[in-house]
Amino acid sequence: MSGIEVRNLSKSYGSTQALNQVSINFVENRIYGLLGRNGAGKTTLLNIITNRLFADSGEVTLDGKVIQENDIALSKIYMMSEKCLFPEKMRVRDVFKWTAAFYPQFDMEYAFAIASKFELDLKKKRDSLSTGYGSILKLVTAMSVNVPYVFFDEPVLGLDANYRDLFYRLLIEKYSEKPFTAIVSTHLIDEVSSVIEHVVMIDKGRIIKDEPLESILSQGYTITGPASAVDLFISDKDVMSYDMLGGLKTAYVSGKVPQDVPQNLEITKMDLQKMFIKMTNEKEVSK
Amino acid sequence: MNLKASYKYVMYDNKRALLIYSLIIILVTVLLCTVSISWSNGNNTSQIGGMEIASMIFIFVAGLTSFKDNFHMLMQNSVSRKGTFAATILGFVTTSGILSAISIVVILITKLMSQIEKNIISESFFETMYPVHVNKVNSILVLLESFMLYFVMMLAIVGIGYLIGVIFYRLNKGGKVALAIGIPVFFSVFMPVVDVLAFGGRITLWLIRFMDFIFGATAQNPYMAVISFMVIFLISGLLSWVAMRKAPLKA
Repeated sequence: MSGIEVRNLSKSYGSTQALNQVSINFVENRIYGLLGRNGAGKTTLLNIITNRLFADSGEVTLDGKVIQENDIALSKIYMMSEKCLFPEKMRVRDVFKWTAAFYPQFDMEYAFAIASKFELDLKKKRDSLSTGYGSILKLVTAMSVNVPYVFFDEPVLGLDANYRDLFYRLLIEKYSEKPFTAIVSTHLIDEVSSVIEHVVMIDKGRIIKDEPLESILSQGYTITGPASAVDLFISDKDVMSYDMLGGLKTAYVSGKVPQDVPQNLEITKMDLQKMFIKMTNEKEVSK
Repeated sequence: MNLKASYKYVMYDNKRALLIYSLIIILVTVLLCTVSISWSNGNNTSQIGGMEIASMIFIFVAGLTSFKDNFHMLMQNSVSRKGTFAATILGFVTTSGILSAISIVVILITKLMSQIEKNIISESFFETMYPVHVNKVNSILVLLESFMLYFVMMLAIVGIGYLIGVIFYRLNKGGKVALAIGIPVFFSVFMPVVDVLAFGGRITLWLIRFMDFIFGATAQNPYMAVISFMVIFLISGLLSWVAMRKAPLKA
């Protein structure tokens, strides 16, 4: 089996079950969104895949070889973690230099170029960077390693809107030029939905969705129009939620797009975030 | 295994501290010798020696503090725990070798000064421990044996420091506090009191005999010490590996 395969992974911290029999595949050359609420188990899953934590049970393989403590498999993986693991007193330039020592494919020229786009000062020490620039340092490094699998754990933490947009654009640009597998773990679903191809939703340590984005979005639709017309239309439908703006109402509906839509109503694509909220709330209610 | 890069990184981390320490220790030795020469004034004698102990304290602290930062940086760069451990051990061997060589340089400086000014007495740790043995062999062999002893002593000391560092990393907050307070209290308060009240000083006597045995002091055999410290290094290394092989990343 090629790619990263996670089989029946379980992990608990005391009485808290962080992961419960998680099985999932990350195939080559695809951008994944790993979506979950706070404490859903996203970081635990990524930490186990990248050999930073040990699972209680289960296995993770890369191209059929167990990743755990396997230096060859690990050299094909890079993880940008939420916490910064570079030494506090190390300068930005030295972070790049040392990463290049471990990852010979590291593109120093590209790192300098995108660092300049983010206005990251190469002479600064890691501990003197703000939260946002700390994230930028990790992002620039992760974007430059050139390995087949890159994990981004909350990559835009502390970044302003302009830099978040720049990151998403650079990710698509990089992926278009030289495809690789990027797994972006975040709870900023609206933003990441324009970048990802495949969605993995995790809730309370269980995978609740593992499908291409298009397939998920086709499971519902958004309908907008005058409130009274929308109310009439959705009366017999499964409505996830709705927004009101003046006399206009937008409803998020589960199910296939119906043929008989009144002319004063507009049908658009389902919103991933609404879908996510519904799914994670549903789990809570059913529990 | 990315051993070369990991080893280079471990050494890079040590390099600056090692350089500063070496310069300071050589400068202090030269300064002490100069002060002793001017103070002796042809009559007063002064004794210089034991600078090797400073190197041993230095390397203990280096071992104690090296685990967390190296582990985090090497984990960030996808190096396995066995890769981290192998690079660390290689780093310790190199650092111990360099510090032992510096200790020999310091001894040579003090010997040279004692040749210039007869009132300066230079006596190394090795000469203090094995006076009978030193009188039996030539000075080149004494230097070689000194190097060998310091090298394995430093390996053992850095190994113990590293083991404590790994255990500290793995403990939770309560465990860290308990260990930090418990060990000094056990050795400085509990054990002496129990020894005096319950054992009539026999524990202290046994410890002295044990230390005498591992150093080979009464037997005047430095090779006993070399073997003892090598065993201590191997045991501390083995225990460190057991403690770190399943260490989770704590960030």
